[in-house]
Amino acid sequence: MKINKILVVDDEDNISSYLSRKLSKLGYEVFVASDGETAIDITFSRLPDIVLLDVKLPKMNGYEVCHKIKSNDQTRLTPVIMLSAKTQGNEIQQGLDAGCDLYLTKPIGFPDILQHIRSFEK
Amino acid sequence: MSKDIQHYDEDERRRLQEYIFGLEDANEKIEALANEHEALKNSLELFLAVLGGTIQGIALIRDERFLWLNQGFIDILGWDFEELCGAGVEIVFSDPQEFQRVKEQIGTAFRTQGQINIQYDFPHKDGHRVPCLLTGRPVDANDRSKGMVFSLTDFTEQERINRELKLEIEKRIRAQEESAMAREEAEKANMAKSDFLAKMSHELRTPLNAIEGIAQLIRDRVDDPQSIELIEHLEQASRHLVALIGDILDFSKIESGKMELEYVRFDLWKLFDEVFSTLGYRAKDRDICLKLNLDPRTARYRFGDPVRLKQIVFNLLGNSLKFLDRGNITVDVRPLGAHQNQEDILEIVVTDTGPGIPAEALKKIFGKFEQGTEGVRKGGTGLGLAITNELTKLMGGNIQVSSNIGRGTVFTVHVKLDEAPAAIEEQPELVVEPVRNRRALIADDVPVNRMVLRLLLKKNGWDVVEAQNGLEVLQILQGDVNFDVILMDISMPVMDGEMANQKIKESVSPIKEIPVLALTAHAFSSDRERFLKGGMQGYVSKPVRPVDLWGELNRVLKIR
Repeated sequence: MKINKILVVDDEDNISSYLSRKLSKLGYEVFVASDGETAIDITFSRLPDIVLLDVKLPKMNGYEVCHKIKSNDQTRLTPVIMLSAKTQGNEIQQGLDAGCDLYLTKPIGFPDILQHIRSFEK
Repeated sequence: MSKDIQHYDEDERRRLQEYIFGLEDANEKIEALANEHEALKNSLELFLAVLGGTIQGIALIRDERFLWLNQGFIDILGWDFEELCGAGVEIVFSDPQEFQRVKEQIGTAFRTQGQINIQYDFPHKDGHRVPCLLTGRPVDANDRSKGMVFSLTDFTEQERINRELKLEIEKRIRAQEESAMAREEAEKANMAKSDFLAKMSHELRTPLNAIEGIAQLIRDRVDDPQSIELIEHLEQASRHLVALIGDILDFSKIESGKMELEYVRFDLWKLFDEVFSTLGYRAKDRDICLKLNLDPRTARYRFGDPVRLKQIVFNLLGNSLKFLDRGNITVDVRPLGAHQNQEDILEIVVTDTGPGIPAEALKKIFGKFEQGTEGVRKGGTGLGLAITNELTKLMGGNIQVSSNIGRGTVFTVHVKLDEAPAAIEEQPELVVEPVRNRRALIADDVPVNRMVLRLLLKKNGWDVVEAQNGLEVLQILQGDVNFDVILMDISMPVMDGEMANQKIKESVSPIKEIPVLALTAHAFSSDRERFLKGGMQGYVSKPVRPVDLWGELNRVLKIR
């Protein structure tokens, strides 16, 4: 699978804009959403190849967003990487239950994030 | 007291995430700046290498201070970088006044041309002046505060080369002028000589005309053998004088390059026949056998200048006759092509059994006035062989001589004479026929010339009317037009012959139809051409020989 379009979801502007800038520079087409509902809208309308998803979000949290993506036939196979400051065992379990393909814990450097994104390309 | 990352809570992790991304971002920016710095450093080095290595001086000047200058600038004016960089521009000038003057000059150039391009001798630090070309323009045409970039070119070497070049050119021009002046002088001198000779020959021919004419008339009137002999001596002396004048004129023409050869069809056989019948009496007087061997293969009709060819043969035969008291003179004429495939080259060999020519004299024989004392005594001009030599050259040939003392001399002439077709009908022989009721109007300011002409014409039954100048001719023609010919002298007072002829040709019939013959001592062929162009029908050279006069008269009157 070739990754062209990436959706970055985070309510912290500093995080989303940094990721967006770095990924754009590498040639990806990047969409940004700062809440759960917008993330769902963009996922269904623009069909990104992968979603970077924060858990703590306004309106709808990351678990619910992930669940909705994975419940839709059209986006069922779209990889979702959860990126969260929540590191408790039950919190990670919740993410995996919602269907995420990878659960990364903050803090994490951009090179690691990129490496994980690229791992889905293989 | 540090805490293991595993024990950071959610908020701490969130802040840490932002911090890490912030660090990453800053790192990236630092790296970019470092790259940029490296690139700038590289370009700056490149610029400095180019500007520093330029022989021309380059300086950036802002607010009348040196902001930067290259090694070239420093070298040209002899300062150190530290002395000039940052210093006021006036430092390189000898005094503030000079700085002001140059500043004004630069200001003017900038205002009028938008850039600076001036030549100026800048002072070197050690005091001497350096001829330079200063060019410059503002860094930003719209913002003078950004300063100006000047470039300074040292012209010392260039000026030295220019100076040398200028000197060389002047030298050559002077040499050219001198040689042109010398040439002009020489040409003037030569022209003066030619003029002098032409005038002299004219002056000499006029009295000769009288002498010859009168001698002939007297001979017709006397029976006394002694008187006849005296008159013949007189005629002979006169003929010699005419020959001398002719030779001098020919030679001056050759020397000034004015000798022009005719190119007409003529009868080669007849030409030799004429030469032999003319010279025959001189051979018979003495005990000389004059013999002509004309190779029958020799083409009879040729193109060339028969008069000049005759002159060559006359000169050579005359030369042999002069030195021979008894013996043989043989002339062999044959086409060289008969054995060398050069069909147009004619070979004429004059062999005599005369006294021969000493080797010393033989070397100089074709030079001018190189005649031996013997020749002078025999009445030669000293020009005959020199003229002959030049004439053969003009005819595309040459002349050679060999001689044995006591055995004789051989002259060999080669001349180029194109063969002419034989089919042109033979001209009938000219016969001097006495004519009746012919009338001539003769014009000459010298009474004795008129007399000679009058007597010659009257002897042959002509009526003669005389005029002293061109104007009188015109006046006579107003009342009397019944003339067969007008014999017109050229040099006359009041109105000359050429002007009178012009007036006649502009007149009404029948005046303008009367043929006019020029009668003059003007002896150059260019004169003759001018007369014929002016509408004259013919030309008789003075002194007038009856055969020439009757020949021209017969020709002109037959045409009529």
